[in-house]
Amino acid sequence: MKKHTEQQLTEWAEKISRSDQRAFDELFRAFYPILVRFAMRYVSNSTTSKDIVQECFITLWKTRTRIDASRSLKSYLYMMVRNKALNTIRDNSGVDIDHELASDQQMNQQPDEIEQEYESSKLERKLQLWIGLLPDRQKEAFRLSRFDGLDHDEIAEVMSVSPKTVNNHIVAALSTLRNRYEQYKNEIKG
Amino acid sequence: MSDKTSESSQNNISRDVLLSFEEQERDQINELWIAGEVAGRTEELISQAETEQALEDLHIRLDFRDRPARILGYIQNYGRYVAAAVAIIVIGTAFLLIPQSVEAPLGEMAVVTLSDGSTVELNSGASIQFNRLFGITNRNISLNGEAYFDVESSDTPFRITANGTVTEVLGTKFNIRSWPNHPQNETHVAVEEGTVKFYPKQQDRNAVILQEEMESRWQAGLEVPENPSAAELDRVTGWRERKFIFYDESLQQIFNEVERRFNLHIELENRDVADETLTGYYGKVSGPQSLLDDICTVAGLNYSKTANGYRVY
Repeated sequence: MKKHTEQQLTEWAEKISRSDQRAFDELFRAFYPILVRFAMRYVSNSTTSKDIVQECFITLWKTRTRIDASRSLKSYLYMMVRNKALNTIRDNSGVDIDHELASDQQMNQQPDEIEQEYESSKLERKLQLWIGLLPDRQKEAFRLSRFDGLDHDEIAEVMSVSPKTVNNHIVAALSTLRNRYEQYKNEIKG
Repeated sequence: MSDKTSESSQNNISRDVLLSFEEQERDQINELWIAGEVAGRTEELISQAETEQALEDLHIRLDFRDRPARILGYIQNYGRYVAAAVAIIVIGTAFLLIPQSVEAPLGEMAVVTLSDGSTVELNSGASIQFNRLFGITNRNISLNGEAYFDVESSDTPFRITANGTVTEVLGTKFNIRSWPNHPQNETHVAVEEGTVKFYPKQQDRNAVILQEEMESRWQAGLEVPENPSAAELDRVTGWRERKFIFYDESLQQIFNEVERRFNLHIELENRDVADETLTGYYGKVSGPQSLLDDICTVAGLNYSKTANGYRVY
């Protein structure tokens, strides 16, 4: 994944607020793939995810004159996608899900599948599984930090919590991962 | 937002997080953090071609081609009447810009007559998109897949965007094949009647002009489309009569077409042969089985039935 500097993002934000279509296209190209991937974590359906991200860019363009270039455009995009994704889940389920994430594939795995996972000894694959088993909010914060490279302030804005809470989520996530790792190492030895 | 002067820790673990752990735990936490990056890579990313297609659709929805000039100055001068008029225009325009989409379902084909009288025949799984101003202020369409166009003559150019290319005409008959899952993002144009201008998006200086019975193709990475050459129209448009005609086509592309036309799934187990090419003509096909029978015999492969299609090995 390419990283985009703060400077580049501020420049895009300024240009887009002045209706610069080229800057809008550049932003779209840079963020569409990672935002679709991000939306998939909630709705686990690529067509719905693409629709959600498309709608967010349309909203961004329609409200472009109100973009505040001094604020993080990145967290704004992630926040829009997250809200839309959560709304989609809520609208489709008919029950108040209270910000619950779409059931992870890993969550639905049968115990024996998890056993099989233990057989294949790659740490990365293990980690992927363990991350999927984390509590929702921890999982969300951890993935935004680790996979999307957002800093704590940005994640705080996306998830509408304080940076301190973000820090707690990530620390808790890493503690759990570490415990599982220890357990796993003992199992291999034993 | 707070200060961004501290090193933007995109790949490194945050200091705050690390300091929350006992000193002897930190190495291991760091190790997990690094391994976590690889775990994240298994999340699927959208391809560049899909991104471009989505951007094209977005352009159509936002009608980026002809945006009105600044109207702010007028609003200040003429006050609320203009504001009211503008509001009506804006609401009206928003309605007009709602995209229309027509799709041929897998296993079926579709013929669409557009408001300007042009007709589009869609191959299985292909779709087109346009807005309500089509036929009024523009004749712009985006295409996903393969279609045969019979375009009515008009002074307004008829433009088709597909996979990063534009095909522009005033009135003529031609075929475009542009599947989003083609490995090189190829778009192929063959003209039956009239003249067509074909170019990579936003580079009409690199256009090639195609006359009757000529074809050209463009792939991602090419600056200019292939030089026009003689086309065998019967072969190119054979799909319209539900024939299967492959000319030096890769097995992967052939199976993709069979999948779309019969709405089934083909699992090509032996990936080494995916790029091998084949030429074949099937005028009347009774079903997927007879087609697979033949292709597999020629390519030295076997197949078996699965729940939703076939497995080829």
